[in-house]
Amino acid sequence: MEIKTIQLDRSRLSSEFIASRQNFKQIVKCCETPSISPFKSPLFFGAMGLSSLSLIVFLNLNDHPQASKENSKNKGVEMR
Amino acid sequence: MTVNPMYHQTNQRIEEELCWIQSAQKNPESFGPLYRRYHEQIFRYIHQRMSDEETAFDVTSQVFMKALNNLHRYEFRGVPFSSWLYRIAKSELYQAFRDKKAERTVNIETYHLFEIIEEFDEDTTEANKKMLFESLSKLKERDMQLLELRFFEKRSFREIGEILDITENNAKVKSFRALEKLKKIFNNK
Repeated sequence: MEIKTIQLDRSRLSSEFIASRQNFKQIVKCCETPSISPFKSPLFFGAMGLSSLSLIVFLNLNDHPQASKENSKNKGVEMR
Repeated sequence: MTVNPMYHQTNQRIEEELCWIQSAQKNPESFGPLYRRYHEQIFRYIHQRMSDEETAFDVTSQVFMKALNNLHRYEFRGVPFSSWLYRIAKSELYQAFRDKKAERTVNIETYHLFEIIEEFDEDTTEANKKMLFESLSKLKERDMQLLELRFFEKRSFREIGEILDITENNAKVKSFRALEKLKKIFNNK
C-alpha cells in the first residue's frame, strides 16, 4: 500500500456533525434477510417432492393390474 | 505519552455490550446502541486514513453493515466489541484503497511531529519539523500504521494489538522498531 499524501493540521470534524450523519435505518435495511425466491424455498421442494412421489405411486398402482393381466395373457399364450 | 481514554472500558460496560450483542444476534434492530456508541470512533479511524469525507462515511456504513451481517459469528473473547469493529474497518479500508475508491492519506497534527522530535531528543524547530515530515513519507505502510495508532491516535499497546491482531507485547516491540526506523531516516537527512 502506497502512502499518497501526508496532510498536516487538517480541520477536525465535530462530533455533532459526525453524529448527524448516522443512518441506522439504512444499516438495518441493508442487512434484512433477502426474501428467498419461491423456487429456492424448502416449501417448494417439499411440495414438489411430495406431489412427484404421489404421482409415481399413483401411476404404479394403476399400471400394476394391467401389467399383471397382460402378463397372465402372455403366459397363457406360451402355455398353449 | 497520554493514551486515548475512549478505549479503556469497565467490565460493566463490556458486559452491557455483550447483552446488546446477544440481543442484536436475534433482532438486528437491537444493534442500534452499539452503532451509536461506535459510529464516531470508527468514522474517525477511517477518515484519519483518507482525504475524502464522503468516502469515509460510506466506508463507515459498510463496516457496520458487515458487522451486523456477521454478528452471528462474533465470539466474545473478553475484549471490547470495538476491537472486532476495528478489524472490520481495517479490512474495509484497505479494500477501498484496492478498489481505488480512496487514496491512502496520513493526517497528522503539528504537535504530533513535535512530540516525536522530543522522543528523538532533538530541538522542536521548524527545520526539524520539516525534516520529520519528509522522513515520514519514506516510511513503509506497516511502520506508518503503527506510528499512526501509537503516536497520532494515542492508542494503548493493548488496543493496537487488538486492532492489528498481534499480542500487546508484539505491538510494543513493533511500535518501537517503527519509531527507530523513522529516527534512522530522520538522522540520515
